[in-house]
Amino acid sequence: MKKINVMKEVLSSNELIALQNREYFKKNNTLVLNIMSSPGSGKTSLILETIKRLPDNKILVIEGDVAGDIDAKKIEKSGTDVFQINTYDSCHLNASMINTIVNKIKVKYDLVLIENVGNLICPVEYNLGENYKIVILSIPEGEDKPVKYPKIFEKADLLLINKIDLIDYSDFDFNKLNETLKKLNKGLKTLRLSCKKSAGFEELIKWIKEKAGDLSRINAV
Amino acid sequence: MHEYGVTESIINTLKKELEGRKKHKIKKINLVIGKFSGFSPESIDFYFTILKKNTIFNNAELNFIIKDIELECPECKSKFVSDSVFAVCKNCGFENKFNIISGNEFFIESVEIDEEE
Repeated sequence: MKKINVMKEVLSSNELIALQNREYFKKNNTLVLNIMSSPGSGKTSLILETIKRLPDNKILVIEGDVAGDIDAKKIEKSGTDVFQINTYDSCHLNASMINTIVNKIKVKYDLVLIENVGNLICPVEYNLGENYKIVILSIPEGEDKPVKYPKIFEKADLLLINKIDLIDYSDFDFNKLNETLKKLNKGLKTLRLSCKKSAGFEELIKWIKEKAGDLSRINAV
Repeated sequence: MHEYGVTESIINTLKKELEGRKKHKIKKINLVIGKFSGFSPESIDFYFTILKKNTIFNNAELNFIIKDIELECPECKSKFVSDSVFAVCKNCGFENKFNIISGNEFFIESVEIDEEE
């Protein structure tokens, strides 16, 4: 029996393509945000509210869903450029899927918003070439999600608490959430907002504008 | 379900790695996997059994080298193995964010083959 040393990361091929994507976006001065959450927490609504507040910027939205183009149609209606990716048997977007979109891009974008497949487990393992990972947690989901799905919250650069308008109907405990985050991702910036009520977006827009001024960062798994 | 894709990645990486070698049988793949990697050895094994059929991996087995979650206390610098990233330092009682020393690993360490004469 002969042993051959390999020493290769299993996800190295994804990382390589993610870096190519990153290089492309960097060259074009594009800020890329990978938006992740469980299904129904408000990713599409967040994107719609965000693009409404950035009328002077050229924005591209990439929608990731297992099937269908419901979200892409909503974005299209707003007049923003959008590509829909259907992942079929896959529970996350990967760098190669984003690369196929990169090859189709004809204009220069200031901002690319990637809506990942609704899932708190797999999407975090796959870098897409983004600058930052945004995770949304909505009030009805409860404050315990970072305990149950630690990795995605550990890797998040920004946490958005959506559906804050439902707080009076919920047992959501912010103290418990903060305790968990201190142990998992100390200093994680957390913003509270409501897409439904169109409230709390000032801080998010400020954050995006700040980050757009520093595109040098490469996200790592 | 995301283990299906990574099992394909393992197979494709090794196909490339073994290209151009003289005739051989792949016997064992040694895979290092951390307990905080987000991937399940059982699921990878399940998909590997399906994907290896009628390929050069037909006789191969996966051997998982499991890496524990090892944390370092940012306060007193003591290191210890933990079941999760949520922990209390056994030395100084610190209980916030620890440095993760190991547990995120996910790589192909080596492959064992029988070369045919």
